[in-house]
Amino acid sequence: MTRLFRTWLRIICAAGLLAGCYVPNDPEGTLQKIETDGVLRIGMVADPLPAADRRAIDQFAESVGARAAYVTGPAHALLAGLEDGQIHLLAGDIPESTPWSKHAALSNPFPPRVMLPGRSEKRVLLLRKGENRFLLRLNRSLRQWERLP
Amino acid sequence: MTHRPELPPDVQQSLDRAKRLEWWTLGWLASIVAVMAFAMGSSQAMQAAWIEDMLSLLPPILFLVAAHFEGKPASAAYPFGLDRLGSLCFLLAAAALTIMGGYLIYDAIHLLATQEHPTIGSVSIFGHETWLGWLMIAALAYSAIPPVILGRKKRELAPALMDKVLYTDAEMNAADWKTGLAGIIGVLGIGLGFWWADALAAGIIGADILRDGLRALRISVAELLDGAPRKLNSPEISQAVDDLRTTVPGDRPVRVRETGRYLHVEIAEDTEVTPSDDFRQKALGEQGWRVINVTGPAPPETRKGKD
Repeated sequence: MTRLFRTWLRIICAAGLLAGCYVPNDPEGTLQKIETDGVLRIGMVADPLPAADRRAIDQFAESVGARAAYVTGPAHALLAGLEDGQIHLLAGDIPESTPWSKHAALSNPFPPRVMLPGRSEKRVLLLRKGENRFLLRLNRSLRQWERLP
Repeated sequence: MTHRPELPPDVQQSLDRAKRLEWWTLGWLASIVAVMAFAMGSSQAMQAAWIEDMLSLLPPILFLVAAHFEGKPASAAYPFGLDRLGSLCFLLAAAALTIMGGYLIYDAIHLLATQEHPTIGSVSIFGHETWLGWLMIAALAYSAIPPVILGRKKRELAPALMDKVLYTDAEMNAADWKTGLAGIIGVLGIGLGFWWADALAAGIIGADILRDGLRALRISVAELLDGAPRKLNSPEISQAVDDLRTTVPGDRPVRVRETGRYLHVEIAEDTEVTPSDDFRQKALGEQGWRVINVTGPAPPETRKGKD
């Protein structure tokens, strides 16, 4: 009885570890594409890019072994590129309450706060919806960066 | 209708036990709703399961309300007592189920049609960034266990009490493991990169709820329209009707209707129940046409054919 139980426990633990490596995955394979191409394409919503955003992105690009390539253009063209997978991240003083949250997923917030007229909001990056592995890696990188002195 | 026969002791005991179980259900469900709200992200199946848990608070509340009021004596405002409250609660519970099932299916189809990719983020637990999907799966697993146990206990009591609200509620609880499992599969599906898995799971949960709701709605409509008593879990007419009819001697018309768990039997002295024009005119004047049915040992001149 206990032996059977232990066997099952081992199987469940192994499955869990395995799942931990492969879950969550990206439906459109964004993270894999970045890692194989070695390029992380960022749409700049603010030009020049604020120092906080640039540092967060550099840190993340390094952690996935890619170089950051910055793209400029009309805001809506950048968003369309993000929804399409041409662009991987949007950055530049984007507040947590962004109306674009209908069309893009939000990263976890990172400091400093974004100054808006009359108030301040938490700062985020935008990425393609549903790319959960990419989002998890990005959030891990942001958390590490936050801990740096 | 001034006083009613008391319930047999074992039925009364079952009723008290059912009430206790429903209070337990409310407590557990409240804790589940709280846990799920904490773990809920943008997963559709998770939201569906959460809404279903919120919704399954309704039948226990309706049951307790009905059980509280059903014994109240008749008054001038409610000359037939409050027995029909059970029927009303049953209709409300059934309508809630139906609407929710329909909404979930609509939402799932909408998400699949617009190819919305669900995003599930991450939270920091003990300094480690963890995918929120794992928390959702844990919450869903927790949400499935207590209702199944309580549902099975309640389902045993329902036939003895002939309580349709209790039965509907028990069925819904007992099926909760399906909802939980569908939710877990949906979240795991997202985790494996199948964006449609979640909406599909939500749609399946919705279809299950809708089917239960429509069946309950059919039974409850029959009850509110003074239909003959139905079986506990199907719109078929109950065997009790035939049993009552054969017990009544002679060829007199027997009409049976039900209010909640109780049966009302009318055995007519004669077949004529149409009121006389004279009685209508005398009683209500202009509005006399509203009286269409006179039963009971009334003076003969109130009936048609006797004037």
